[in-house]
Amino acid sequence: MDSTAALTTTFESVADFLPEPGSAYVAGISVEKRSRHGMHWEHACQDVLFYRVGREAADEIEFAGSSGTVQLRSLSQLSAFWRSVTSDVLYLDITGLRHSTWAALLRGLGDMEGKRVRVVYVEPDEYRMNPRPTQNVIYDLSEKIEGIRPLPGFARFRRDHNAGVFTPLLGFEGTRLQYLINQLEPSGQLIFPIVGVPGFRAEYPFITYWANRTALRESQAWKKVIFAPASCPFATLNVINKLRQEHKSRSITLAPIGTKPQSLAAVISALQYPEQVEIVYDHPVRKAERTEGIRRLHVYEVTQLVCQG
Amino acid sequence: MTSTFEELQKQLSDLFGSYRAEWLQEKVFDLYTEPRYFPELTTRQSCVLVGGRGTGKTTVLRGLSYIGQHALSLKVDTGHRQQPQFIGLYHRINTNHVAAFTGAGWTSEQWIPAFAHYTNMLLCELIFEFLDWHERTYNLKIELDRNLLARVCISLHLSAMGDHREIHDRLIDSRLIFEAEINNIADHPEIELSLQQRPVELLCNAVLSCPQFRGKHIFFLLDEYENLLPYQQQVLNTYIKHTSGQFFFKIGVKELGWVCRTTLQPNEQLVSPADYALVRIGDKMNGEAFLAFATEVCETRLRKVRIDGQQVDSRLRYALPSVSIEEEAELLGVAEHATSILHDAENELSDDSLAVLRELSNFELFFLNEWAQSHSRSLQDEIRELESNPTAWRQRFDNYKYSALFAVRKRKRGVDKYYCGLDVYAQLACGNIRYMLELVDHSFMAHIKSGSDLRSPISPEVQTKTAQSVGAMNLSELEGLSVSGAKLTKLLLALGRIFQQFAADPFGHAPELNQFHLTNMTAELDELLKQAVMHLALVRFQGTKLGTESDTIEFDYTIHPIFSALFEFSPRRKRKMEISSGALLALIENPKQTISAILREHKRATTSELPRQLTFFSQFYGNDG
Repeated sequence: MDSTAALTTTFESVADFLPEPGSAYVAGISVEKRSRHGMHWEHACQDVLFYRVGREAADEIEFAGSSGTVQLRSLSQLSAFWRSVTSDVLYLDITGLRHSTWAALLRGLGDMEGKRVRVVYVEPDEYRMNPRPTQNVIYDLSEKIEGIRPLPGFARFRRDHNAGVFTPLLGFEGTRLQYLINQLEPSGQLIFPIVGVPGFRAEYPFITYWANRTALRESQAWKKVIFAPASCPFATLNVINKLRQEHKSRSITLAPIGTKPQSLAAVISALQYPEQVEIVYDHPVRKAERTEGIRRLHVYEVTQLVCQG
Repeated sequence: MTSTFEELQKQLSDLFGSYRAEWLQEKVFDLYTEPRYFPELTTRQSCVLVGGRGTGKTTVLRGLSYIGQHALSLKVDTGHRQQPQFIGLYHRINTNHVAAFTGAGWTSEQWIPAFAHYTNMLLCELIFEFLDWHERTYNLKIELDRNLLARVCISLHLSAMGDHREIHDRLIDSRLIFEAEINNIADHPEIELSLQQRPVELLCNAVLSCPQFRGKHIFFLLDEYENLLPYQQQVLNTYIKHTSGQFFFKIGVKELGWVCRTTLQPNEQLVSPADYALVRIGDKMNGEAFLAFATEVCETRLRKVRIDGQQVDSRLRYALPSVSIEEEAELLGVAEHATSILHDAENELSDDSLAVLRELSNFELFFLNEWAQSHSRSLQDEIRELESNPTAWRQRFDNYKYSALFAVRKRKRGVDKYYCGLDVYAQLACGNIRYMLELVDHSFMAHIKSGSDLRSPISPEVQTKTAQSVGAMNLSELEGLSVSGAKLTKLLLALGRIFQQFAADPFGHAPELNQFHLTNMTAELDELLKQAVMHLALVRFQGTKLGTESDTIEFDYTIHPIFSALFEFSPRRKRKMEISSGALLALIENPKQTISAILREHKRATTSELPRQLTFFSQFYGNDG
């Protein structure tokens, strides 16, 4: 039996989902419609505290209403925010939040005790096609990328004595993989990309290969592709852990440029093994209407992975 | 035993396939070829090595490192000194690390002391790592003066005292604490910062006072300087300006990647040669120098290839035969044109005139006919001119014959224009050794895949198709090279199409028009062009020689020659057109209309037909395919 299955609850329709009574629900609303999925079920909630991230900056977020501002490069402020949330069950909905926001919020949960932490993610129904596709940009998902800089709180100044392993968690934007490889120049023999198999839809793994084919071919990394389910952070984490074990003497650089559940695995790994695992991220600016529709909703039980308290 | 196709493919792939020094790892030193400018980097002076992506900066800097020098000294055939007079400490600047010193609401000025402390720790760690390596490699214990080491500890706020191994351990701990402080900078931690440069000076002094290293000096080999933010370049520029004489910096930076030349004193500039020696690979590796270097690099690899245990002919010129202009015209099918011209002329011209035509080569006849047509003259007029002044006519033919090649083939099957021969390949690579290796690697691969013997020369057709596919490969890579990758790709596609159409219609126009000069410059375009040059979409060069110091440098631009086979235009740098910044930006946003407008301006018709290798981009050009 798959041990990761017990940690995930999947709802075929978002309308089937309700947070537990007495819980707290932290979410944000992005340019994508799916981030507003709460409107399907929010009215039916009882006794749930909602925290909406109203403004997301690179190093700072501001909650709508009176919950104030939190500096993402301040562990004390992140912890203080979570301590101020009195509920024992905490939901962090990463669907509409930027990586820099939800990764930092997860970091702030490190010393929490007696809480249950669940991450929520909603799959889109469709990604928007690029009206003028080029070899590496089939889908029209990002306006631009801001460039490489650490996620807040995830900077590592490690010195590598051996060449490190580079593991991009692939999505549909081949140019992002190319950009990261060109910037980091990892050793060609040590690139182990992760492709989401099965994908949200049956054809997505093929699209992933197609969109990333230039970099995969040039680096010959196609020979070393590893599969992990696109919607399962736990199975992805297992794959990353296996890589870590196989390359104990090397650093592991993870690039979460694919699905958010897989990115969640990367962030958890970086939190668990800060001396070996580093995250590299290129900070895309998302296009409005980049996705259409809503598919399944997943709830991931991550308490034991993020709370060491 | 007979070598199989797969074995040959693997051999070639191992030797040529890893174009990047970063991918070759330790093997980079087995295949190392020292460039002629190498001695300039070994002087007791800081150096800035400027070159585009793939020009060999990393290989050279790693060759200067202690690991590189050690590996090279073990190679019997290099004639390297056994004991270099320097200790080279290589470090590639990591964007993900240095970008941590931004944000959090701090200004660049506020980040400077923290970044300087990070730099101190980094450079000291490089030295400690060398000491560890030296002890392990030579099995010799190094004892540094404890008093001198104690001063290093004080300057870095390290509590521990002891030998260099203990201090190294404490420094690693200190770095981890510093990392946590930077990650939580908004908590305003009280960071104990070291004074810029001081710990490095003290540690260099401790090391170079040690008997094993006395008389030597330390080189910090910092690669990818362009990854630093402008204020971070200022910090390191200050190190370079005020170096103590015991250590020097050898900087590797991409063209236009050194954006800030001042030190932390805004009025203090780094000046060459007083503060550093500028080594521009493009200047050192042009023409014959690059050809010789590239030949040596490729032949070093070819000498390692074995077929059935036997070496192959490693002469690159033998493997990559060229064709003369006349031979190429024949390969392109000029004889067919000549037959047709003569056939048509038989009913119109006198026997004497026909005799003149029959004296001409097929290519000369084709040229004469095209010239007549493009100038609305008759064949008889042209013959008269040829007879009255054969020297002038021949001079015209010589001037135009290369560009005339682009018009011989009119979209039939096969190759439209050949790009072959070692010299042409070197021209396409344009001083870029990575491009040269790509061209040679892909040519050999295509050659053996076509069933040919590796020991036989590669046909002009295979060489040409390889040049096109390497151009296409680099075009597709361009999207991912920078944050402006998508714009650069569009700009290149649009300019490539214009120069292709100019080349295909050479008669009655200035030949080989393949450069442009901007009539006005905007900030947006300036940044885009810098990116284009840095990432080798375009090549820029000084347009006019500077008369006085007050003259502003003006640049001309051309598409990097590696793309010339893909688009089919001349890789030779010849004539230029003027273009406005508005038109250049419009090429990105509105390619179809802007390309047509520029072609009209230059009296060229717009044809919808694309060369076969460009049909993939028909959607971009607004064609049906």
